[in-house]
Amino acid sequence: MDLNDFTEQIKLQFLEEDQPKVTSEIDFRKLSTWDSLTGMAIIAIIESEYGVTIPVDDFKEMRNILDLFNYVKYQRKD
Amino acid sequence: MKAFINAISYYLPEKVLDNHQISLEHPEWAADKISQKTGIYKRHIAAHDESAGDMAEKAGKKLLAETKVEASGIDFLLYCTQSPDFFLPTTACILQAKLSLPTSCGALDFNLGCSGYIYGLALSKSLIVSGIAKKVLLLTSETYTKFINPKDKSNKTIFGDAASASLITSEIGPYELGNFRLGTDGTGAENLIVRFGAIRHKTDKGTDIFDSTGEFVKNEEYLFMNGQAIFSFTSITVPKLVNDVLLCNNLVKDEIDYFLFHQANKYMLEFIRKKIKVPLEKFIYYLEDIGNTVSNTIPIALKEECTNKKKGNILIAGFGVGYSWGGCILHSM
Repeated sequence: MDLNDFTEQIKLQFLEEDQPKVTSEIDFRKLSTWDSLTGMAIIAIIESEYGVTIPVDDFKEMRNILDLFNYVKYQRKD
Repeated sequence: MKAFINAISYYLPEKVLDNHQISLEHPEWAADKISQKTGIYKRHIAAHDESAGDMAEKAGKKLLAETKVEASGIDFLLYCTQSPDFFLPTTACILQAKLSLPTSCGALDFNLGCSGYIYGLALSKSLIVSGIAKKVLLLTSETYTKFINPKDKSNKTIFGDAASASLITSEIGPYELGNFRLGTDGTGAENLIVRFGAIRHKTDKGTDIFDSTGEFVKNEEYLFMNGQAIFSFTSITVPKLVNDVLLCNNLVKDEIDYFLFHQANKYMLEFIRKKIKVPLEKFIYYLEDIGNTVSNTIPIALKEECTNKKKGNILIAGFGVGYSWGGCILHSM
């Protein structure tokens, strides 16, 4: 798994005005267009592209793309 | 024998709920944010004393008036709703009388949501191709807003009420029905449900349940949608459905001129559109002024965005509550 590719995929789930601000370390919950729908899209894209289902309670603990990346990597035992 | 959609009419109730009104009731949600995410600006709401059956009757009468088809010539009525007027009799029987259809007309209700129009077309085609019926009137009508708890702002922003009527016959019409693919996964039943009020929990009373931040979560007497689960289901099922529909019609993606999916909400549809890599100009949206009208979204979008405007192969697909899904190709002439 490559962090840059992963970040690019997650970035696309944000509305265009926020996409340039998205990095692997930014707290995405603080972006102006963040809401539960964005969360759903992130969970869905990870499920279909990486085969990892993140339970909603675990997802709520994650603040940035690096958290997500590490979680997915651990689950896939890459 | 072939089957065609010859005409579509629809009915929207008079009362309108716009984002400004929702924002007044729920100040934490700005009106422009609601439209930005859902793609919806307003929805129509059935009147207190207006049932889905009433709306279906209006859509049906409109179709008969617009097409000048004799009611006496209709020999089958299919009615799709999840908001039946009564437990029994079947609303379709009441509609047979109200629309003055002949007593030789077959009539039945079928209970499906967002996949309902596709199933209705599949049943209509079957009746025609088998020689059981010649002129099928397919009605869809839904009043989900009557299932929505006043505190449930999420569902309030999405759903609107509407009814549609389609005439399906073997005579050449604007849309020829191609081959269908249908599917079901009842393990998803819990994720979109009105639990109380029917026979299993007829007298149970629901209570409002809130999460730790004070957000309304559910009340079993009302519509509950597990948004996360529905989003996951859709993102996995729809791309596969699209492939299956292409395969069974011997078509490849590039031969599809337009994609018309159940108008769930813009954000989720954009997610799917990007996932299956369909350009925006081939992807039909019609939900700004009506919202998600469940089984009515596809016929209304066909009427408004496609009839006399878009020619070629249209891939239509419906998916949702059940889980239930279906898709087919319309050859638009």
